Amino acid sequence: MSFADRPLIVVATVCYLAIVTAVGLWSLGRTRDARDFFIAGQRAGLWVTALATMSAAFSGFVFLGGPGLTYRIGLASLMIVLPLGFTGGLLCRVLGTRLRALAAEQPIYSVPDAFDARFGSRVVTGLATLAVLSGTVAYLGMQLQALGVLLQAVFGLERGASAMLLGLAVLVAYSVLGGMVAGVYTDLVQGGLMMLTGIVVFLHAVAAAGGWHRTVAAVAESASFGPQFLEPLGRAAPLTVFGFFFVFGVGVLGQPQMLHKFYMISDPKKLRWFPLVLSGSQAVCVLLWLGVGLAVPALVAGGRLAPLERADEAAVRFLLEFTPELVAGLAVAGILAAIMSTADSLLNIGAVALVRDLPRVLGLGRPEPLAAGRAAVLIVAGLAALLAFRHGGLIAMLGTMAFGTFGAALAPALAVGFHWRRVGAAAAAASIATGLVVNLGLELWRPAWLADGVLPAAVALAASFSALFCVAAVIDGAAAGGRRAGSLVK
Amino acid sequence: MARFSLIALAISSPVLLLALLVGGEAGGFVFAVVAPIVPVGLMALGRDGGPRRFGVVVWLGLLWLSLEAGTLGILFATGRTGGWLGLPAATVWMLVGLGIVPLLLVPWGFAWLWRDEGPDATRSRR
Repeated sequence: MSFADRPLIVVATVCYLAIVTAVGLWSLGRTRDARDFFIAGQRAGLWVTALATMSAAFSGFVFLGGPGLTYRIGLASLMIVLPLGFTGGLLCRVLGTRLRALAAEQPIYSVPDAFDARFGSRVVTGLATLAVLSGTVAYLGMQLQALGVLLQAVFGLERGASAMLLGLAVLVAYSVLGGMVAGVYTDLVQGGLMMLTGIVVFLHAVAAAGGWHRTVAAVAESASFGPQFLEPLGRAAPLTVFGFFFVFGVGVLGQPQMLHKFYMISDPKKLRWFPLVLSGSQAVCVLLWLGVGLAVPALVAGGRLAPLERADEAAVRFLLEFTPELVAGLAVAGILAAIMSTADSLLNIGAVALVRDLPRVLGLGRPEPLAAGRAAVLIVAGLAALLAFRHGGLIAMLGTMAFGTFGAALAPALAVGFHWRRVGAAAAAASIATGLVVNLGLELWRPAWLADGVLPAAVALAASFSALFCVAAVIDGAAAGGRRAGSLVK
Repeated sequence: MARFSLIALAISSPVLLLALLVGGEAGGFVFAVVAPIVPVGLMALGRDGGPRRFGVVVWLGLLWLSLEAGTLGILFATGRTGGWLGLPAATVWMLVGLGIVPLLLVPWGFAWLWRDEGPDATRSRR
């Protein structure tokens, strides 16, 4: 059975796309200049900014990749999302107010702009741009992979590649419609839909498996899952588990799709409530990860669901076979919302990096924005599609690589560099380069001496921090002429 | 506080790297103990004065304790029974120490500490 046999689901999907398109078209009317295009005119309120941040952060990784990873390694997978309890506060406390203040002083539209303002170095800005592009391609590839899984089920397509191509076409068309103004207001709608999906699917998942205690007991007593499934260290190595916590707990400070939203908020005093809205909304969405993650193994253990051939099918199989058509339609729309909101943010960020940041670093003239922007979207989307086709692993593992690319390269230089004047261009460049090279290097070539279960992203993040402090200890960035340090780092 | 946190971050970064490269149980133990220092240390980088400074120290201290309880609870309670809601003890430590307590403590603490004039993390250490 596919979703195509349940027409209400396809109708819900089409309705969702129509609503988002309508909001996007309405938002286009509010776009008058570059400031509107890139940072929503700095008119966004608390709820718009916080929910836009949430929906840019939460994607196919959470709604499809999470249950899939749980099916593979058990409740250890939750170490990826548990840091949301403090990451909202971490973002605001470390970077939120500074980025917002920066955006009020000068035209700051991207994360490389922030690096340029702080360090005044083309090398640093160029490396940051390269990091943004690399992470964007990887993250977008993960979204395409998730979209392929979903559309394959929605339209009953036999080949995943066809579904992925369809998803690519939808994404590119959606992104070309309008810039960040369309993104941030559609993100608000999508964020609300994601939260509703999280709650509704969690309740259905637990009910379908027979209630909380029966679900947990069924998993613990089964031969194929057993009590280790429920233990944090049951089916994953300690360094994998703690590595997830480290990468996702600290690497959040390097995620441009989230940091960019701080430029948009109209009143910085509202940031006081930002962690509450962000963390609270994320916690609601994550209920789907927990509910489906436990229910699917319980249903498999009870013989009510056939064992999965692909772990990433956990959420769609559950929705197909165990939820009423209306709920499944809502959930599909919610998952689409999660994927599209993140993908749209990333496409815009990648396009800005290619069209604006990279030419500036290379000293080239700025190309005609509209045509160049559309071409950039196609280039970024094309590279992401290539990666998605080649990657045969779990959605969550590609997501970890993508998140880790951003985090390892950008988080140390931003987080410490915006607070410690001694961090100069040399330290920042060393940190970004180390994070990029180590993460991508270990992903492509995993040496035999690296212990089992060690995440490349965790090694890269620790190495990037170490490089930053080592170089800063040797070279005093402030004394070396960090001319822009004084205005930003008081 | 910012100077102390910079020192803590500067020491913990290579220690974490070494733990990852060494691997095994020893590496896992060291990583679990040291990793919670990093997010707390980063949050301590802001410069706060007056009565808020004491509040921030308490707030971050409680966060650090919760995170350490979570990671150490995972390490030492694995395999033990006596959890909650049918979940084993280590999982309860994980959910409470690394998730629920920070989720309650951090957002509300942030809103309380900056209730008067909004967040002011614009001053750093020299």
